[in-house]
Amino acid sequence: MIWLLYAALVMISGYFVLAPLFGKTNNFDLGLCAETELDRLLDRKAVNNKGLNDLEFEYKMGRLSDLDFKQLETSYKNEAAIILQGIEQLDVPKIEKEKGNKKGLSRASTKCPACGAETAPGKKFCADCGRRL
Amino acid sequence: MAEFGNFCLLFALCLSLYALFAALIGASQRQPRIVKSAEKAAFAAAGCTTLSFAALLYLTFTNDFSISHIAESSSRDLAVFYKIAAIWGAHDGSMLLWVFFTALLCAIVIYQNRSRYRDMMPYVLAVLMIDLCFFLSLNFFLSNPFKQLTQVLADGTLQKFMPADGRGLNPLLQHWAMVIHPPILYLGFIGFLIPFAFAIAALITGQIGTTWIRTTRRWTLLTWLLLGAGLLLGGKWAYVVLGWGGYWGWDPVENSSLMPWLMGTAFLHSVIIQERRGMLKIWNTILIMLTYLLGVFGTFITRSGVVSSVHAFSDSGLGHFFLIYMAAVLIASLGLIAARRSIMKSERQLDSLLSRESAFVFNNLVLVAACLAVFFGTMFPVFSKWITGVQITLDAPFFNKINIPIGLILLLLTGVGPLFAWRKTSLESLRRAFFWPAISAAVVVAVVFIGGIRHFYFIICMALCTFVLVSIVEEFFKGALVRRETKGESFAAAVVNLTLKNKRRYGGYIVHFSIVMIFAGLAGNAFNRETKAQLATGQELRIGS
Repeated sequence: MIWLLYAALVMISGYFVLAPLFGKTNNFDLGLCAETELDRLLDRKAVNNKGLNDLEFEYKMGRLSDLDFKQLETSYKNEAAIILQGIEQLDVPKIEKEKGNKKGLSRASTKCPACGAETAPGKKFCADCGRRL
Repeated sequence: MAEFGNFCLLFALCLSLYALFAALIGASQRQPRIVKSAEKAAFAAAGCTTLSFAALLYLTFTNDFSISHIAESSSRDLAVFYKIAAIWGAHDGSMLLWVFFTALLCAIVIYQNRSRYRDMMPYVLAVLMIDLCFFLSLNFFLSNPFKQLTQVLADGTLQKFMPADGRGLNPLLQHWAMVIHPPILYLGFIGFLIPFAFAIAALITGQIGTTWIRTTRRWTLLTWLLLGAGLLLGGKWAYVVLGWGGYWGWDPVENSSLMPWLMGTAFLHSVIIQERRGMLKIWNTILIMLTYLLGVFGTFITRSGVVSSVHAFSDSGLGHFFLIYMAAVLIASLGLIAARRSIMKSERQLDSLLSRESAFVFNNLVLVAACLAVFFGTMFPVFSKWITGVQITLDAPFFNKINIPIGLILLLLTGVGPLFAWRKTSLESLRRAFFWPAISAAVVVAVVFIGGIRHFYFIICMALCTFVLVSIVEEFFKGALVRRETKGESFAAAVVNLTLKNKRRYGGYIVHFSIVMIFAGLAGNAFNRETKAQLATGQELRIGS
């Protein structure tokens, strides 16, 4: 009796584990979600924006002198300009097209490119990580 | 049922080995089908360890004392509540609990990320499975909870033996905290495997950005919380049951739980700098590697018998395996970091020493120093025996002498850190920010001094607690005022929304508040008085002034 139990456990697990090897479709592609230069720049942009927001908040809290605030604000804005320039230099439509040509997920799909979470169509930000879509 | 539990354990080991190799092959050949199969194998392994754990639970409740582990830790008259605790009341069962939790956490992480980070996940899976395979191997081959008692008959043959009753759970462990303390603590140890696995996967795939940190942040926080809760519950148990006259005795096993907590705290703080400023990438990877390894080291201390402790299981002969595993993980991780060092350079430098980044770095150094001090003190008996041949154990006074000043510096940083702005802060701004916390601390020092208390550390601790408390209140107050002005909300709504909209920052302050409460409690230790005396009937003894 116990051997039957073992055999059932092995067979059920075996089917469960090995079935994907013989499946017809791949619902994902390895490497598709790898960090690209665009992802890195967008991340930097999001972090820079957050830094700028915090800077303004801390200035209003009296945590920063006028001089410090102006210097840091300029620094954040300069960095934002460099990031935007970097994004413009990348051929974004081409990247999007290349990604879209692959099977599975693409930036146009309902997956966040940063964290991969499901996002409703038309949303401007990912509900999971806050990244602009 | 014992055979079934044992079979499930062995089958789980086979499945996790398959998952490990399939994940690596799938990643190297870029075959999603093989990776998917590896993921399913990890789920199946989790299912099998669950069945194995359920089998041990069943055997415990049905009083099957032919099982060595159950005969050792349970008995017929043991209350149901404690029968559950009996599962982890001895070494073999506690190892099964460890394996059960590891397999479950692995399955949850793999399921959570089933459709994201596809390039990183095979390597995450491989690291998770290496850990699971190691512990499953130990559990099955060297520390098997389904081992049956046998007796030698007159003709020399072996026969199963079932005593009429078990030895029962150690009375010291028959306390409500012991039912929940080990599972919570184990989850606290094991959970750091997840950020470690993502860190290694990030190194392998060269994605050294913040993806792995963002993904594992909640896991890290939860694990850190559970480890902290486990430490506090252990303190509660020690206070009530052990009769040390306190909640913390700097016992090696207690220390081995504290070390990953300290290192994890450093990690939680320093990743913020990586996310915000792109700095400390190598440092963060080393921190999470050490945090994970310290968790393994904790179970090594508990199970190897290398240092004597009231909490430790007797020497189970597993020590060498733990040492080999830890050395292999350390060498492999450091090798990977060395190989990737060119892409792990900081994107920016510190703008100023008077900045929040600097406060975080200093906080990290102090936390690591505290961890090293505890590590050195804990392992001193081993080191002293290696060097001098004589085993010298360091007691509480050593640990207190080293760690009280370090703890107070940390408390100071808890208050000072948030008063600095990111990147740089002018002295004038600092003067304004420090004004009320410093004045409040000075008032408390004066009140305590006038009250006749002269204990140096108590006075300093209360002053720092006040400083931190006022700085936290000030943060909420000023933040709410800004929000009220900009959003037109009432003050109460502004406080609530401020916290909800920036949980990371203001949630952190709430945690800092709890740290203040803990330190205020610890300060009470200054008034502990312990006296031993023999009294005749009617004789009185006055303790303290």
